[in-house]
Amino acid sequence: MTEQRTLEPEKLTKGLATVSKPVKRLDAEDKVKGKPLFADDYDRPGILYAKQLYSKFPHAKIINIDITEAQDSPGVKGVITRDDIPGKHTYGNVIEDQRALADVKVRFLGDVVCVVAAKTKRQADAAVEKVKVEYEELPAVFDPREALKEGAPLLYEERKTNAQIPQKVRHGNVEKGFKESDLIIKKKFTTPFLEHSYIEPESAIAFIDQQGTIRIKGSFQNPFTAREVIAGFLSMGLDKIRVQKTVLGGTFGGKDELMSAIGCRLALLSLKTGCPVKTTYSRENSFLESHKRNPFYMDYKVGVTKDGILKAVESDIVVDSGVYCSMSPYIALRGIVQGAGPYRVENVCSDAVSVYTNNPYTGAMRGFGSPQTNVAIESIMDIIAQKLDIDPVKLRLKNALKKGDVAPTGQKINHEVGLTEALQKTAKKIGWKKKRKKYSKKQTGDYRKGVGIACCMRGISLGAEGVDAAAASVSVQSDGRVIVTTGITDHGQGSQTVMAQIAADILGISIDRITYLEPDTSLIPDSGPTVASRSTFMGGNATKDAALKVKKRMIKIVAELLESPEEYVLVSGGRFYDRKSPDLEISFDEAVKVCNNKAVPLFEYGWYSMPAIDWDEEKGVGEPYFTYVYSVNAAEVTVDTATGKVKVDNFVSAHDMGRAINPMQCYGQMFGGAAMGIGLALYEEVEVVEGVMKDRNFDTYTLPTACDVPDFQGIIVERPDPEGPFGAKSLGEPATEVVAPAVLNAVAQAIGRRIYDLPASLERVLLGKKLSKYKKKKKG
Amino acid sequence: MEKLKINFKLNGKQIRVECEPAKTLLDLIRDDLGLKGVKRGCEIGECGACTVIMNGEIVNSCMVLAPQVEGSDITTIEGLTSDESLHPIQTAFMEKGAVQCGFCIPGMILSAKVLLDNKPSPSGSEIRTAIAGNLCRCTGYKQIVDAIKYAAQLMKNE
Repeated sequence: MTEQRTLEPEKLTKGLATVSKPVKRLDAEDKVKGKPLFADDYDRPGILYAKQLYSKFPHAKIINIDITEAQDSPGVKGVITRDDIPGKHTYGNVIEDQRALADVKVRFLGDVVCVVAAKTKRQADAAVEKVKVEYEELPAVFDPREALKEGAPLLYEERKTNAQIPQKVRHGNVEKGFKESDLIIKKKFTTPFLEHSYIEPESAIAFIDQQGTIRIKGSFQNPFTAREVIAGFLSMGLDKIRVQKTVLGGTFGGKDELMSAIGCRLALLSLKTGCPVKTTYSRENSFLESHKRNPFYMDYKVGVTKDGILKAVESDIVVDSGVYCSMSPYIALRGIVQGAGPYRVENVCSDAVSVYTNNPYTGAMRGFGSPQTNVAIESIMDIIAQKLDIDPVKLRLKNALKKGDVAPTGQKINHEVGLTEALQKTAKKIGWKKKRKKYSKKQTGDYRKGVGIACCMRGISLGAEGVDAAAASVSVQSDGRVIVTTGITDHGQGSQTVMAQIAADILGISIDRITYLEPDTSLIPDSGPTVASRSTFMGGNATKDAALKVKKRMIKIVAELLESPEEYVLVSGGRFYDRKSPDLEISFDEAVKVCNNKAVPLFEYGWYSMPAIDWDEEKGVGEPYFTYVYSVNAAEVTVDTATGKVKVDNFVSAHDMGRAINPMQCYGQMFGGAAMGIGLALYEEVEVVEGVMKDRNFDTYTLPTACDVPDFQGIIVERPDPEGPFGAKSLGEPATEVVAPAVLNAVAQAIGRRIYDLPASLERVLLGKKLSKYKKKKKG
Repeated sequence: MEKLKINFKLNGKQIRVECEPAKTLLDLIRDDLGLKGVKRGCEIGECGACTVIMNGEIVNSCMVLAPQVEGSDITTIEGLTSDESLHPIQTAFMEKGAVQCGFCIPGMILSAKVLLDNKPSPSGSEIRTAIAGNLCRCTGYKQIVDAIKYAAQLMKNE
């Protein structure tokens, strides 16, 4: 295990053939031809279609479920309810509160009471309507702040409170910090429910193979998690459940707990009927049942000296978790750990608590709590800049973390920090000085312009959120071609290509010799979930470990053959050679043959576990993540003051990501993240009125189209991390998490008024308040 | 339910099928004819994943009833080229990094094809308007727009 720690930090990218190059995606050709099979593209003979029945009330006791009529309905082969579960009824990463089939209660309108399997979709649709459920309605609570109060309806009576696990950050002494401050800003911010909006809806198919193993193929983001949940639900061994992810049409954190529930139901129906069973969600049901981005209710207080030196940050945050805990406590933690910005702040006191309500449940979505808190702290930075008449870029530069500084959690920053460089380069690229000055002069007419900037730090990988390890395998075939597998799933971000690049450069061969296999839970060790922007770092390090082990073994054989000392033997361009006498060489393929003839195995497992972190959850102090990515975004906007419409004209996204293994894919992450952030800033909200979800498709839930986003610009800043594969850190979430405050700061300059509640929709920009599309039910 | 006989051209081949009158073109192509490059995303004509070309124009196949295609000429991603070769738009999408998860890509490429067939040198904003009906959650569209610009060049050089 210590081996990977002592690996010589590579001479990085010098002489490498693929790392740091814009290598074409391995799956690009298939994808442009429309060939890859996504989950809904799979079929099997004798297949049944599953359809689920949803709760009728946001909170109710289930008195009785009568399935007789549904069972006798044409084409129906199986019906399952709470009474059919062979094993565990609950699952959950943090609190085991989630159910694939509702038990004594339903807690929101997306709870599933019963599932039928029938020969055709239409028969399943018809049969599920014939299930009769008797409910006793219970009082419900829809506002997490109300849910915290004494006497509020409890979702889980046995817990005696709706509060989950409170999180805190404590550093220094905020009282002292505020005393030392010349200016104190107090503000409240809110963010809404958001839908991940992967364009491929959830889908899976389950069947039993000849060995009696339950096979489940589908749009699983985290196949290992799903396998564990399904095994528990069925009370079967992990070896008897095999989960295979199909090509994923996006997930962004979304195809997680719901996919586990879908897997449970299909597997059980398959066991019951002996037939393959499939389901593909309609968009409406995908909205209804899947988790959302957590709404945050944030109270912030920030103290600063008249010179603009941050002295204290205090925050108190309530997070709507909806009916299930999911990852909410850790989302709250991530929110406050990063919620004081990437700054030297000596005094921090932050509290966040996630709370049960009868709303749709919330959980991981690209950014994981930080897009919400970044809106607060980075808006306040601009308020401070305005009050103290300091340029917003200068204010940030003054406080920006550098190597050797202490971060807001009290963590000493021992690594290189590219934040200052990213700030300067971003400001330059957007034309900050000129534009900021120009737009601060009085503007007339309907169209007003503004420019805004924001920055953040992101702890990479799981850190304080959990145990973190990943596996990979590298197998050199007898013809010199190579198969690479990791436990990391490709959601579309391109991790296959990154892993292949890493393996190719370590083995000194061209990338077209590499085939990447997507994980199958029975064929590769559990590598944890593909979340937390951990793919390149964790999977990349595991791949590196496996490839290095294979290479070492080959070098030993080649050294004997060339009669060279092992340390002189290098491999690149498909050949091994002696660096002292380069004429002494042997091709990679020849070396493989020699190894095969000597019965030297060219297969290796790689393993990587995260460096130690030290976070005291009780006290809220320590080192929550072992290293960070630093990000800066800037936006230029035009606001139509007659309609409230905001148009983002220019956008620059800069990140110190350690090392860009594949710059083309890195830009893809940056631009995609920026578009998602613009959605968060300006357009997106799932409106939930008294537990009823009003936006359930893309007609009213508006995603940014190609016409709503500008010609993005990206900046790669590289401060290689000694622990990262070729110095790489991560990028997926940094790309999204600081977009919204940059846009909002630009809007504030344009209209001279700030928006504290997201999204900055037409009516909020024009009228300063939200107009609901929907009327609330009258009470009483 | 009584089935209707429908004749139309799919990817250059004359097709004769029987189907229920209420079936959508999307279901006909995916489920009955097995062309899985046409994707199901929202089924209300918002996301564009089910885009096909009908008589030279872009349609959301979830919004077209199968009987409406009687006598029409339909092209899906599978029929973009007559063999395994790549269309310049496909080459451009690969080279410019325009593909991530790939779910929106068939529809996106077909929208680009109709644009470039009608307008060989489109401006950036014309490209954006042409693909505004195709939602992509992964890419932020920039590399797609760049790819379509590049494809226009490739097609001119052909």
